[in-house]
Amino acid sequence: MRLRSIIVLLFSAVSVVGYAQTNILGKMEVELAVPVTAMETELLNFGKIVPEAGGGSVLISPNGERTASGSILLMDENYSAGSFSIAGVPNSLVSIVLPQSAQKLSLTNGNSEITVDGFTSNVPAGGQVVRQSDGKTEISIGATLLIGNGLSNPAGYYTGTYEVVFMYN
Amino acid sequence: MIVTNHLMNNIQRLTIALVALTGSLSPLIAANPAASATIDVELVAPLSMAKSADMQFGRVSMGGAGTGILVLGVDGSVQTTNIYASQSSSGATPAAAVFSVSGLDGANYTVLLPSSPVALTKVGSTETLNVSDFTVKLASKVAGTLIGAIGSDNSFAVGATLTIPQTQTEGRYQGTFPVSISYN
Repeated sequence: MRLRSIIVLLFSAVSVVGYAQTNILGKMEVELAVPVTAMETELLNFGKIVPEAGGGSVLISPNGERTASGSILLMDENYSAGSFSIAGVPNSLVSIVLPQSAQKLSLTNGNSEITVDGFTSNVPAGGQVVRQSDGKTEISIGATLLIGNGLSNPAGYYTGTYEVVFMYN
Repeated sequence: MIVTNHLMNNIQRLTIALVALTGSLSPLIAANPAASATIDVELVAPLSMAKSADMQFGRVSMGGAGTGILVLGVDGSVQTTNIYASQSSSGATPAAAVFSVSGLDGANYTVLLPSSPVALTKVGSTETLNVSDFTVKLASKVAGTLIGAIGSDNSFAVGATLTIPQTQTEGRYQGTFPVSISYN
């Protein structure tokens, strides 16, 4: 009886030898997508303004509305939010990184600066959808122009740049 | 009783016949059954492995100058160089591969991953991308430990590094990598 039970064990041992090692193939995948590209289609333009002694600020919202606070007189209607045409993978979500610090506008024919801060965009929190139809979307950017003292900045044309980063969400 | 003894004899003969089939060990057992009683045999539960999750690098696009490198951690985290990697809301979520293991409780096993680069091939094309530097994290061990124990390490995660040349064309790249485990 004992012999038989041993033999049964031996047979069992032989049968599991093949399972002391086991192999498997794992799958892996990556999608290499076209990079997001952006083209500026509209200047972020505060238009023509007349600051008075108290100074103040001019806000351009992403949807292009302009409002002033403090002692600033808004002049012509030639102003606009910044606008970019974005291209990327259709149906993907694109997010934006706006300037996190104040940017400077410099007088084109002199040595004076004005500060622009508080950049905002119309990109939703979860990102903006790139259209399925043409792989594009439009994004608008607003900001606030700060004038501390109207008398410290000579009249003239002030220009500057700002950097925005677009990326897949 | 006679019938029983007869049956026992038949079983005895049948047993000896089976022993004869087992090869080199069987003459020993047949010639000296008493000695064979001391043979120690350990029944080992089969070692088996199943895939719980595929390795997913997600959606990436080239950015910056130079070769793109994406390091996929064993926790699914992503570190990139010259690459923009998407987050969860766009494209697939980056994820480490996960495998489950079963076998003899308490037994140690070793994980063997590819030591040389493995290719991903573009769907519908022959272009390839290399995946290398496979890393492992056993359930109860620190990352990098290759020896686990059934019971405390019934699963392990695998990460790797994806290298993308700057001139690589867009598309979906897929591939497989071999994973092997064995009892120590």
